[in-house]
Amino acid sequence: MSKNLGAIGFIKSKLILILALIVTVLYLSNDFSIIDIRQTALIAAIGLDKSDGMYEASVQVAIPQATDQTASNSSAVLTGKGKTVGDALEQIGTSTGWYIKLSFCNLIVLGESLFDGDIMQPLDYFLRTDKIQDTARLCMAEKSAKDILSAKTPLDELSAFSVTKILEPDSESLSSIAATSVKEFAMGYYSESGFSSMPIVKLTEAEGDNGGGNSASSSVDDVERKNAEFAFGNLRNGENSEETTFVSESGGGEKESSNEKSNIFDATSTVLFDKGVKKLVLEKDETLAFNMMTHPISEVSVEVPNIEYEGQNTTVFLTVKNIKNSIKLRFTGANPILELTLVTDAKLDDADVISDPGGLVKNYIVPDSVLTKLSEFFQNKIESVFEKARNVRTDIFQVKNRLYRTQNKYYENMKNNILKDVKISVKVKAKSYR
Amino acid sequence: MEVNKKQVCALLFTIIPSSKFLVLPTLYAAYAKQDAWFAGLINLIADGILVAVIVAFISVYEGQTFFDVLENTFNKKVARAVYFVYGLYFMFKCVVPVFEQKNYTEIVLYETSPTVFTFLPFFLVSAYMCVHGLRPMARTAEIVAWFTATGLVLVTFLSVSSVDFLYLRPVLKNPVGQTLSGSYKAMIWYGQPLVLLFMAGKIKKEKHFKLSVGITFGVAAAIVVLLFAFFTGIYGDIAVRQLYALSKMTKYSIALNNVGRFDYIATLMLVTAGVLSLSVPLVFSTMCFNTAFGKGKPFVFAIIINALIATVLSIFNLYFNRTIELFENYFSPVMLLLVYVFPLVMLIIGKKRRVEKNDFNESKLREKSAIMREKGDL
Repeated sequence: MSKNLGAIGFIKSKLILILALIVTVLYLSNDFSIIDIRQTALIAAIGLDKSDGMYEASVQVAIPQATDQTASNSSAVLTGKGKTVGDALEQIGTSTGWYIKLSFCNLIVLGESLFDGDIMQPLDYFLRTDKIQDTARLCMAEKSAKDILSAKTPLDELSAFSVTKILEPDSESLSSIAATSVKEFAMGYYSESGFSSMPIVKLTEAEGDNGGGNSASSSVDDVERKNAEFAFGNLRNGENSEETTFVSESGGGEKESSNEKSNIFDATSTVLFDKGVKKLVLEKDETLAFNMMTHPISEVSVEVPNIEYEGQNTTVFLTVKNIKNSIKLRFTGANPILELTLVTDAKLDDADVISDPGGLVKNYIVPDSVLTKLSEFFQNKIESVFEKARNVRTDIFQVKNRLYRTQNKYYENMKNNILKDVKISVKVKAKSYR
Repeated sequence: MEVNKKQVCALLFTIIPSSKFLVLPTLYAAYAKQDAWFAGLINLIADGILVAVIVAFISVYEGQTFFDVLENTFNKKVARAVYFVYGLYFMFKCVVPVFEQKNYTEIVLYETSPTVFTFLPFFLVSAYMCVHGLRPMARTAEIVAWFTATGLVLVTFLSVSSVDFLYLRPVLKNPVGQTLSGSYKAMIWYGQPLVLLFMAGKIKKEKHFKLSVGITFGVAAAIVVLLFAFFTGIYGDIAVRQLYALSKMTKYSIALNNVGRFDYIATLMLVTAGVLSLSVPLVFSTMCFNTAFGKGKPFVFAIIINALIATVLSIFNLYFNRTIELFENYFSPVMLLLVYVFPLVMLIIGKKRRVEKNDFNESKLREKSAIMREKGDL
């Protein structure tokens, strides 16, 4: 008995020490899978295009540099090709030796070439992977996604930062851009309505800028650019071999002169999808109306033309605040009615007239005639947006989803025709901001 | 007595929400869709009944351990056999949560897949807990419960603004069979209150014990159901593709835009609390084996059990989904029997015996009175 206890005592005193040592050695002898920061490419944005049936992934890389150097942080656009999005991104890493870190990527730009079929096909990768956040902003490039990522901007080091600023949630609440994320797009796609949308990013030249606004990004002249662009060539043998290209946008702050134009971005247009297929493009005012009914906007500026103000027919510029929107599907008998209600406060900021200095209150309070016009303006836009979408069988206000969620007893009978049969009732009430 | 009421409540509050926000919400979404919260509620009601049964058990068999009750009801051999079975149960019970926690930690904290050794130090902590038993575990729970509470409150407040309640409708329209299937498959993430049964006879007798335990369970369960509903409201139709809800639900909060991902504080608090929760089944497994094979060797069992689980984890490291599937199919019926049926049977036996005992005492008393009356004493 005492012998047994002695053995247990020995085990207690020695084995735990030995085990602790073994675990400690094992624990400390691995590299914890931590990747050297010097081999890590922090991806700020991903651009996707398609050519010859292959996905072309362009990534904008932020390369941190020592702060004691005069150069600003530089950037580069790397491109990889593959049969799938994952493959194309993988190619960039394997051909450059850099570890592609996607967790800081806040922007995914989809090139126009991807919009022939179901856009969810390339987007599915971003839902599957844990490498990238599903909060990443999503947008369509008017032409090529690579063009957006390679563009020079007057204020930011990387074009991705500029575009992300336009599309990020903070700006969204103050602007008329119908921004969306991977998650929001997928939720719409997989909903009963199958409706989703994303803004279109258009590239326009910044007026009055000759490219000197951003020393780091404007320092590469055309010759240098051509030298910097080089193809790694075919990385794989066979017919569908993938390739990776590298476009350097760095070069240090010493080279000041450049004829390259800076660009700014416009994202006020919105593309609408039905089950991932591109159906319709909304222009600025239509986007505004759609956005006001479907997004949580706190403030927006509106220009309303042809308003009688101060005895003149003019255009007024208003700030609309305290926007409360609601969309309800109700039935009167067997007839579905979609009720869209919008209640706002408006403040008159400007009008193209010389106004009478009639005191603070007079100038501050928006006349009823202007409020009526503003209400009509929104009402017409909302109705027109709905009808335009309905004509191309796109469920812009998620009628089918509402039918399933809130009027489920009618769903089975009406699911196929609800969009066609539903009547729309739009009520807009604009009040003066006091 | 080894533990007090406060410690029991703290332990219960820590282990109830633990491991329920990693894979489980996704499983519910697959089976119960918008009624995921209801599938969760079914499981929690079952656990609530379990709590009531165990609390009644403690009251009926006052001062006796579960082993004493088994020994008195059957015999020592049966009692040991039952403890051996429960030892195995607790050992297997921890497998899925340990796998989940390991994968979650790797995905949240590591960029690439780290080696399995990264998670092994957990077993050192667990082995320590197993050797020292109930009291240190209960005392740790008193501290860790605050981590759980803070973490849950933060997660709730950060995620509520992203919830679209439209996605919770139509309420209870998912086919009942599917919702119940979800609850059945999810059973392996429940049944934690069973540990109270093995604490019977070791809990200090205090006022309002039943009420305190009931309220603690109710609060923890309410938060769990609420967060299941939030998860559905945040992800809608894509909830079924979202693993590791815990660190995902909070990230859409507008509060994080300027401050950064401070929601990770909540995540790390809950992960820290998870270390205790994961150790709990192993502690009770050690306790059961130790009792089944004769007292005095918790150290040996602690080493064997933890080494075994660590080995299983290392070997089946890449078979996470298969492991969950295996447990869903084969462990759930075992759980149903051991967690929900057997304690109830023991309670019924106990109550019946008490009634019989009372009847026996009453008849004895009556006989005695009759004899005394005959003798003219009364």
